[in-house]
Amino acid sequence: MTSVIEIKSLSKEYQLGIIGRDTFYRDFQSLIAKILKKDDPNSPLSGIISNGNSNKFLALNKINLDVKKGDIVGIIGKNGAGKSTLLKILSRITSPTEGSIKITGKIASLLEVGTGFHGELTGRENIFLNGAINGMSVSSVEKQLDNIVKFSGILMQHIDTPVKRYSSGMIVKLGFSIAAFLDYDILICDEVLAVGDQEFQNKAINKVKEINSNSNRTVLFVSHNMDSILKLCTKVVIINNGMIVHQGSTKKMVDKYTNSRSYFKNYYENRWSNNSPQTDSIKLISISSKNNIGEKLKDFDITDEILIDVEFQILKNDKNFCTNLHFYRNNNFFFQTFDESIDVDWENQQSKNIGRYKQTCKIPPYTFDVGHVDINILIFNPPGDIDSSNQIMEPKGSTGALSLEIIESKRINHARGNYPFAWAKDSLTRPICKWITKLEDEK
Amino acid sequence: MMIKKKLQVETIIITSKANSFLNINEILKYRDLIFLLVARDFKVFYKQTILGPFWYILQPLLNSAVFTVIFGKIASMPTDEIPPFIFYMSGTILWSYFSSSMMSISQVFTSNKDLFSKVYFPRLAVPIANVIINYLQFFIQFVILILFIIYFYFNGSSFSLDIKLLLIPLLLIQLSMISIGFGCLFASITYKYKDLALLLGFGMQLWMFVSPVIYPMSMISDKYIYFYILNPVSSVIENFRYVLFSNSDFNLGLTLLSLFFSIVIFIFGLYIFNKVEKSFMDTI
Repeated sequence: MTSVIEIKSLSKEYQLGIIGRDTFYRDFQSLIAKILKKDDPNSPLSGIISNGNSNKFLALNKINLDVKKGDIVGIIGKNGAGKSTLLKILSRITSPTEGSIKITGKIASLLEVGTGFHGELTGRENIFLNGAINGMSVSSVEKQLDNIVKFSGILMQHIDTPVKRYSSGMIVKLGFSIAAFLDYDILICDEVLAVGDQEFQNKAINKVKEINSNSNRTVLFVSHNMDSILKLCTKVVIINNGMIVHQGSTKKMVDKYTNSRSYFKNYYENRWSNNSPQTDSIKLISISSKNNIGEKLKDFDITDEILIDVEFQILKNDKNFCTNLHFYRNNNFFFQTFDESIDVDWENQQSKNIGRYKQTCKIPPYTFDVGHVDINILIFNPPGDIDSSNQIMEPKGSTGALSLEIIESKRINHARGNYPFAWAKDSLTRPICKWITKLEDEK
Repeated sequence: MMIKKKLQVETIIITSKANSFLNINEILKYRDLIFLLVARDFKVFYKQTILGPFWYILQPLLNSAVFTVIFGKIASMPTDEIPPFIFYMSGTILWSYFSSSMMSISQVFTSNKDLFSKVYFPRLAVPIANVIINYLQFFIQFVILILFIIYFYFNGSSFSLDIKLLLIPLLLIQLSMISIGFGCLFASITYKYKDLALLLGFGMQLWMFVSPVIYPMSMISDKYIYFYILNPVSSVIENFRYVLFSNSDFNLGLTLLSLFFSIVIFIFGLYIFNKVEKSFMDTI
């Protein structure tokens, strides 16, 4: 099988918008400063930030991928993993920062159905326009016109009505139908098979399958809907944090993705149902985060108190258990906290009664500086049983049983507030320290 | 049914570098799109207005009438012996062709960002379609101008329309080159610096006054003539009037210089546009 898409160490870097360079005046200022060899007045606090990379973000990080002719490749990953960026580069809407892609064959991208539809134009006029936008000539649309209209299920007498009179369902059906009859070798689509009613969705999936099997065309398909991925794809790629973390057969990858919680980071609650981590005497039920008024959240303002709830079930009344939370940032372990059991002398530890327990750990405001925090949980028997079969550690790596996002505060108290320029580089923690400033000498 | 075998397989290489400069083949491949974009703009304009294409006629007539009263009657500016109404109309229709293509091209990224963010096609197709739809407008207005010239002819003014009229398409092509060049340049700047778009509307007005739209070049003293040489539009307007009215001598030097500037600005505008079109989506 020949490769039709060869992606070689593809990267895409975005500038994070700390400084709004959106006026000509500011850019001009920076340019003049550069010419005069002065400090750029708009640079993100050059004195404080030592490394200039802090405001860059890699949406894709050295991706390599080979797609063979006739494959239907599903791309899955959580929001922000880089799937859409990859599709945008493949469909030439934006360009990569590094690396290259070689595409052999005519490519059609369907990031949206009915791109360029104009409400004032009739269905027929829009079919031609949309076809042309996707690179089809008027004569080839002409040949497919009957098929397109028939597939969309729109009555022939409605096709000469302006599409502003159509229902939204009719518009997406028509949009998909045009795409289905486009003349291409490779189709790239982003969630578009989830258009219309259930009946139309099935029809759409079957149509893509048919296109693939009849003329051996290649399809790249992004979706969050595991059902359609399972129905359609011959191969699946999992993207996480801008990297391809796994690729392989559809069933295996979908299982991997749905079972692995690390892809579902940023959820305020992790509740185990049947595969909960457990030993003979304890079973972990859930870990979740909320704020001090009880709202379950995953994003916290830096000035917020963060409450972590841990629920577990004691199955045997033979030991005491101590909960130990580990906090990670960028896979680096940065601090831990223990529950109140460690305040008791190790010799006097009492075993816990059978039952369901709920612990709440209150993390004071400003404990974390802005950024992502992964939390791992360890439940052990004080004074520290060496035998790990008696303790629960979840997860085994540093990926986090629970993840939080700490965001900068709009409030002024010890936070960024409305400070207009670049803020200091993100650190691990930003505790409130007592500061005293005195005027010592009036000269 | 026989399946035609494709002899040529398209290969696309995507890298961080800009596309090869001005891929004419690719634009030709999308000629149907250009045609349909023109048809769309025309139909939409037609459907959403009461008077439809009559606006194309009304606008230069009103403009010329106002200019005739203000500049002709009140300010008594010379018009090279041409009936003032005809003089102003000839200037106005050419200028409005230029300024409306400029304005629409300079907003090509901002007004098409929904389309551009979803699908690839050579972005230059949109400016080209803009130029063509403005040709249509010009054509309608030009026919009206000719009708007025005939009317004035039968009312005693002397005109000598001759073979030179065939040069008008060339003048239009030159004017389109200037509008594509400047328009693409402005489009590449204003998508990022939105404040400059405000400046442009105002700038076009100023530009009209420093071009011989409402006065003839013969009125300009030699002191300022160099300034007019730098403005490529002035020669196009002058030559347009020369072709229509033979009112002054043909200035070959000015024409060649203006042609040179037009080509330079055309190539420069396309070059910048080509650089910007690949990644403007990240900024807009």
